[in-house]
Formats: sequence, C-alpha cells, structure tokens
Amino acid sequence: MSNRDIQNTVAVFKREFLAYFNSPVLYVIVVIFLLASMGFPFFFSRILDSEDVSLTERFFVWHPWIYTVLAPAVGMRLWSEEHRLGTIELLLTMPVSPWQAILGKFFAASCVWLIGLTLTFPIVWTVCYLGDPDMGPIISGYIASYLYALACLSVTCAVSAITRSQVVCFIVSVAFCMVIALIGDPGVTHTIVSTVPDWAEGVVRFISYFSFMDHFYELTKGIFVFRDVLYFLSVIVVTLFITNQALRAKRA
Amino acid sequence: MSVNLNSKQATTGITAVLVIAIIVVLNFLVGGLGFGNFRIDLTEDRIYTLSQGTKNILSRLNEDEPVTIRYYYTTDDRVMPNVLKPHVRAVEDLLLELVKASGDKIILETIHPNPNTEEEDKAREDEIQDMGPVNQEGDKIYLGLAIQCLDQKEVIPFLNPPAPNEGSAVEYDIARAISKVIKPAKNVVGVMSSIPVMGSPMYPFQKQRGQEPWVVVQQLRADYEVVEVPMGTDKIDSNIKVLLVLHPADIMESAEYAIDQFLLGGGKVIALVDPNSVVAQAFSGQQNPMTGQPGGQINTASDLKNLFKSWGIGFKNDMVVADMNYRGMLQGRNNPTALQLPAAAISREDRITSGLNSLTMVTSGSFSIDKRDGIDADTLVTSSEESAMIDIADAEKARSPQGLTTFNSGGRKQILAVRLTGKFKTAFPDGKPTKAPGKPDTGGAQDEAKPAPVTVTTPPVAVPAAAPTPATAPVAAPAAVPSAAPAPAAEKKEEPKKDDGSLKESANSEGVVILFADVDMLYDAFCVQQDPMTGMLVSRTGNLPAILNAVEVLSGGGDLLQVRNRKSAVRPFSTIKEMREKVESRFRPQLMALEAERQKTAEKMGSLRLKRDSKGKGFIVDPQQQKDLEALMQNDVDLSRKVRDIKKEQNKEIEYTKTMLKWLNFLAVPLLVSCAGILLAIRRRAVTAAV
Repeated sequence: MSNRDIQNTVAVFKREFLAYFNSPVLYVIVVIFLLASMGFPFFFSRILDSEDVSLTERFFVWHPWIYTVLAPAVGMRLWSEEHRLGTIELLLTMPVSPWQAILGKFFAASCVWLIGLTLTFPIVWTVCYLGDPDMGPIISGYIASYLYALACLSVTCAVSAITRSQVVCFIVSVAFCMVIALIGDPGVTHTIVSTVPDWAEGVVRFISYFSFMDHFYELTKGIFVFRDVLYFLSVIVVTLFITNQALRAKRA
Repeated sequence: MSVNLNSKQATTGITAVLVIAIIVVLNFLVGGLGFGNFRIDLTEDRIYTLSQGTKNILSRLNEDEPVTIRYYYTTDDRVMPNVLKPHVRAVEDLLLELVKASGDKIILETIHPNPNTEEEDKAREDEIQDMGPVNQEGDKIYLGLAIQCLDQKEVIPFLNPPAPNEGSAVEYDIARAISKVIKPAKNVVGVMSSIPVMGSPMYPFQKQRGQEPWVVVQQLRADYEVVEVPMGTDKIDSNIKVLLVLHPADIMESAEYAIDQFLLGGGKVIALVDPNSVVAQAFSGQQNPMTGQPGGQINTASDLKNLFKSWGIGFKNDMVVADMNYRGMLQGRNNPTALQLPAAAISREDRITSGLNSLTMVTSGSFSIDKRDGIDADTLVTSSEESAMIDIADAEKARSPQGLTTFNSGGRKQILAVRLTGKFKTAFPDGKPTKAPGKPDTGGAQDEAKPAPVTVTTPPVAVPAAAPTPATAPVAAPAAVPSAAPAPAAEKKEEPKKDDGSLKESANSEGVVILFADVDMLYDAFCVQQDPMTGMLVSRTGNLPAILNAVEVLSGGGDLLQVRNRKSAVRPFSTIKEMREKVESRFRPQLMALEAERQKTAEKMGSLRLKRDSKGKGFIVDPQQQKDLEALMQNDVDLSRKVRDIKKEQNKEIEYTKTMLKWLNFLAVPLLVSCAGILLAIRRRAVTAAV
C-alpha cells in the first residue's frame, strides 16, 4: 500500500466516522449495547450472587448474541445507504479505489464497536473492586469479543454491498450471523448429523468448523489460540473480498 | 455476459477466488492439522499451560522407551453428550502439548470407539470404562486414556470434566500416570494408627465382611507401597520414607522413641493428633473382625508428649478449638467445633497447602510453638480470631442438640497445623527407654493415664489397649483408661544407661515433621463424597489433598505436587464475603443474646409442659400455669420475630451495596452517552441555526 492509498483510506474513514457521530445511530446503538451487555450479566446471570469473579461465563458469553443483532444494525448502512442515495456512483468516481473505500468504511464501523466495548469498563472495575479476578482471560475475552463483533460486521458489510435495502440487509445479516453462531452448536450439529446419510457426516462436521462460537469460547477462557484468531481474521478478509467483488459487479 | 479471461473483472474474480482458497487452506493447515498453531496462556496462574512439574517428569523420559498414550473418545454426535465436548478438545490440546514438550518421546494415538465398531472392543481391552447406556439402543460412550511404557500400563478409565472454571485436573492425572509407568518402583509409606484405618480383610470362615481401608489409605496405595507400622513397635523400618501417624492414642514411650530415631535417621513424619476424636469414639468398642470379640476402647485423645516437648510444640490434649467464623455443620447442626476452614485460614506460602481452598476439621486441638534452635516452624492452618479453646465437656455439649451456650472469643488465631523443618534433636537423650513403660515424665493432662502395655497388636487392626473397658461416655476421656495390668513404675533415670547406638540428632537440617491437630479430618465422611453423576468418590474438601500433598512432598516427589497445585479453582468475590463477614460480626452479639434467650424460654416451656402433662394427662390445667405457658409462647414468637428482623436488616445492608453496584453498572455509562449525544445534537442545531 502506498502513501496515497493510506491517505485515501483515512479520508473515507474520517468521513464515515464523523457521520456516525453526527447521526443518532451511534448513540442509540452504543446505549443499547451497553444496556444489554451490562444488563445480562447483572440481572440474568446474577454475577454478583455467583461465587466467581471471572467474566467468561457471565459477561462474554452474551456478546455473540448481542452482536448477532446489533452488528448488522451498525453495518447495514455501510453500502445499502450509498446504493439507495446513489452516492455510490459519486464515491466510486472519486479517485478512491473500492478497496480504500471498503477499508475506510469498515474501520469506521469497527471504531463504533471499539467505543461500545471500551464503555463496558465499569464491569471490569466492579470485579476488580469486589475480588481479585484474573486479568488474562478478561483481556483475551475483550479481544475475542471484538473479533467476533468485527466478523459479524464484515458479514453485514458483504450483505450490504449486495442489497439495496437497509431492512433487507439487516434481516439477512442477522440471519447469517445467527446461522454462523449456531452451526457449531452441538445440539444443532447432532440434529443435522442424525438426519443426513452417513457419507454426509464429514461434510456437516466440516461446516460446523465454521462456527464462530467454537473459536470464541477458547479465547474468552484466557487461551490465545492462533487458529481461532486466524479464523476470525480469515472471515473478515474473505467477506471484505466478497464486498469488493459485489461492488465491482455493481459498478460494471 | 461473456467470460473473458483477459478482462479486468475476470482477473479480479480469479484473484478473489485464489485468495479465498489460500485462506481456506491456511485455516485447514493451522486449525485442522495443527501446523504452526501456537497458543498463549493468558491466565495468571497459567492454568492452561503445562506446569513445571509435568515438564520435569517429561524430561525424565527415555528416548529408547517411549511412552504411548492411547486417547479414547467417542465422536459420534448421536451419543456423545454436549457437555463433554469442550472437555474432549481440552484434553486433546493438552495431550498435543505434552507430545510437543516431550520432544516426541510420547506417542499419541487417538481412537474413536463409536458404538458398534471394532474400536469399541479395543477400548474395552484397554480397560477404558464405558459410560452408559446413553440411549435406548444401549450405546455407550468412552472418554479415557491408556498410558503405556514397555510393559507398564496405567489407565485413566474415565476423564471427568472439571467443575466450571477449575483448572486442569486432567494434567495431574496424566502426569501421575506417566511418572508411574516410567518409574515403577514405589516409595514406602508407613501408617501407624490406633484406629483401624487399614480396614480388615475378609475372613472366609467368618460371616463378617471385611472393612474397606479408609480412602486416604486407598489413595496412598495408588502411588506408594503402604505398610502398617504397629503401635507397639520399637523400631521403624528404614526403607520407609514417610511415616504417617494417625491418632497415636496411648502411645508407648518405646514407640515414640522409634519415631524419634526414624526422624533423626532421615525419615519424614506426618502426625495427626487429636484432643477429642469423634472417629476414635465411634470406632471404640467395635467388634474385632478377626475374632468377633468386642474390640478395645480407643482413647479419644492422643498426642506425642515426649516428641512434642523436644520439638517445642505445646498441645493440650483436653482442649478443643471452637470457632464462630469458620463454624460448619456436624450432624445437621451448626457446630463451632466442626471447623470449615476457607482459603484464608490456609497458608498460601507452603507448597503443601498453597493449592488448597478449604479444609474440614472436627473437634480439633491447637498447637503452641516454643521455638527450638535449628527448627523452623511454619504455620499451615489457623483458625479465625473469633475462636476460643473449650474443654471437652463443652465440646460434647456443642455436639448435642442443645449446642454451645457460652462462648467468649479469645481474639487469637489458633494454630491447627504446623510444619517443622530443620535439624532435630532426640527426645530421648538417655537412649532407648526401657521396655516397660515408665511414668511419663512430662506435664499434660494425660499424666494420670498410665499407658496400657501393648498386648500383641495383631495386624491389621492396631488397637493399642486391648483391655475391654465399658464404653462409657468419654467425657473425661483423657483422664483414665483403666489398664488391665498396671505397669510397674520404673524410674528411668535410675537405670544406668549405656550408649545403645541411638541417634542424638539429625544428620542434616532436612528433617521435616508435619503436624495436624485433628485426626477426624481424614475419616472418609469428612473428606470424600460420592459424585451423584458418576458414583465415584470425589474429594469434598482439601483434607485428602492436604495429606496426599504432604506425603508427596516428603517422599521427594515434588514434581507431581507442582502439577496438583495447578488445579486452581474459582476466584470468589472476596470483598462481598468480607463485607458479609463484617456485617454479620456486628450483628452476632445481638443474635447470640436472642438465641440464648430463646433457649431459656424453650427450657422454661419444656418444664412447664412437663408439669402440666404429668398432672392427669393435661385434663386438669392449672390456669396460672396455662397463662405462664402462653406468655412464654408469646415471648418465643416475639423473639423469633426479632431474630428475623435482625437477619433481614443484616441482609439489607449487604444487598444495598450489591444493588447500588448493579444500577451503577447498568445505567451510569448509558446515561452519560445519551447526555453526550443530546448535548452534541443541541450544539449542532445551534451551530446550524446560527449559520
């Protein structure tokens, strides 16, 4: 990447990021995210009544489900909006390559999640105040959570490049994220495996490797496993590639 | 649209497909084949990393004699329960880690004994335990390990998944198995006890069933050669590495001398003494399984007077620790003499206790330390400051339904377990005591008790005083155990002593003695319980690990100990606990006063009722008495209400903090964000309006 590319990416990033601040979307999403991510551990998991200060089982465990709904809400406007308003033509006639635009937009949306996750700091303060938690799993849990959010976001990004309607994009993305979260679930795998013929079992098992959950869980426990991080990064790269393809197809 | 390979679009399409393919392959290599897959353990205690102990054990592996690990687990989703899957993967990761760390001196074979396959037979041949049937077809699941080196084989029949948030218990099991297959010679552990802890074998000619040894002995047998040392011994075999002395009630001087010489000769001693052993009481008068005769009375109190004196340990064998903070349940009742000790009571520094999170000690005594030159004393376990020493009559009372009625905290922590390290001097400077036990020459409550001469102690049941005595309630237990033949009071000092070759002090400063002031803690009921899922016995408290750790350290196998300690448990909300403790201690005097008052009322009511009922079965009622009774009942109700109110108040204070924290967490930041959003919006509007 040359200097010029970076400058362009940063320019797109700035424009998108400020747009988030100027619209109520950011505030609404962050507030909902905070209410959900704090409400679940304190009211559903009753973390203070448990005997365990670690955040793994009671805080991070909710995040995949929150992202399944909220990440598409942040990402749905990335390209659909441009399509709808027709500004995509404008954007792509500027001296900005699709990749620069994609990355700029993606990083801007990622920052929304960075802000959201950072603002959950009170729960870390609380467990530190009330006990002596192991910081390692908390740090890796945050990394895992962020990677999960980015993966959901990138999936949404790809979907939004394909569809024109924000609503369709939102619904399709939520469905995608949910499927990806669920495919590795032993209950689901079990049901599918028991209905398909024997030869397809390997295929099902292969597909279940693509589940986000499996890769998410180890990280929140405090083990940084390269394959899990690689997996999330791969998902992000692949979906951004798909976005790129979709945009090029549209432009053509 | 025609496909033109030269067009720009097609090129990018091919690039995209290529990139995606590369990524998939990369993922397959790392995730599927484990090629270049590294992991970093971010936990503070490295609970997911091989511990130093395991690494040490692995470093002892020999290239010519590789260890084969056969890992059996069912993969069939139809039968494998979901809860086991993460565990299966964790174990596999651990095994891969082991293989890597061993430098390929471990060969790992994974076998999937799915239902109705040949592998299933293989698993059975390898003595892997099946679980199930898990469905109506009678399918079974397997999750176990066979570890083999040459002809030595160890099997872990079923790998239990750890409790939530618990570390790698599996690592310990595997490390232990590996160290066992590569080093078949076992250390020898001697057990000396006045209680039949070794159980008794079956006697085919008698109808009685043999008794199982205590779990602690069974556990020791898994790793050591356990030999029984009779209570009446005067020499302890030198091939014994560690001597475990359990409740040495009425120990003879000659036996103490034997322990003394054993220690000075480089042996290690773990001794559990007790001022008032409830287990000894229960075992007293039990039939001797050998003869069917009623067994002997076991003194409920024990100590090692001469040795303690020389080691600088004070132990009152007629006083029991009562602790209000750490009180636990005994026979379904709260009992301050049944100590439920949390991690705070247990030394974090000592290798033996640092991994333990709880201990149960019942009617424990306490030690005092009078420092001796050359001997370091490290406290391992203490009571809380809210504790006191009570006499045995009070301890009995605490066990009765009536409970302990008076309690004055001594404001001092009592020492419940201690480790002595250093260069020991003999407790018998005059050499071997004469065969006939002389008058004990030290102070202590047991002075009057003349040690009964040990009639032939027939293994495996080592009951010292075989003289049948009436099983009286041992209120004055330490005071007198009538001996069948009063021992002649031979004055030791008068006898001319030649140098009989007895050792006078330890050869080096590596002597170790570990003392616990309670022996009941090792009784099965206080240290293990049956797992409702698997039906296997699992450790209930740290009691069993404490003793096993101690034996392991003292027998020189420090490597395994480091693995065991890895098993770190959940970290609690300590501040909430402390808060609760503080609040409770504030309310405790009030509550205790009310309880005492209630007790009194109940007594009064009882006597009134008795009077009334004795008079003509309650038909003729003295109106005055009836009135009194009603008043008392009313009083009782009032008192109960007061107790309830105080408890409510107490809970409210604790709940208040929690509730505040909840709201703060839940609302503070979202409110701030909303405010920021609104402020920015207003500002923007103002700016645009101005423009």
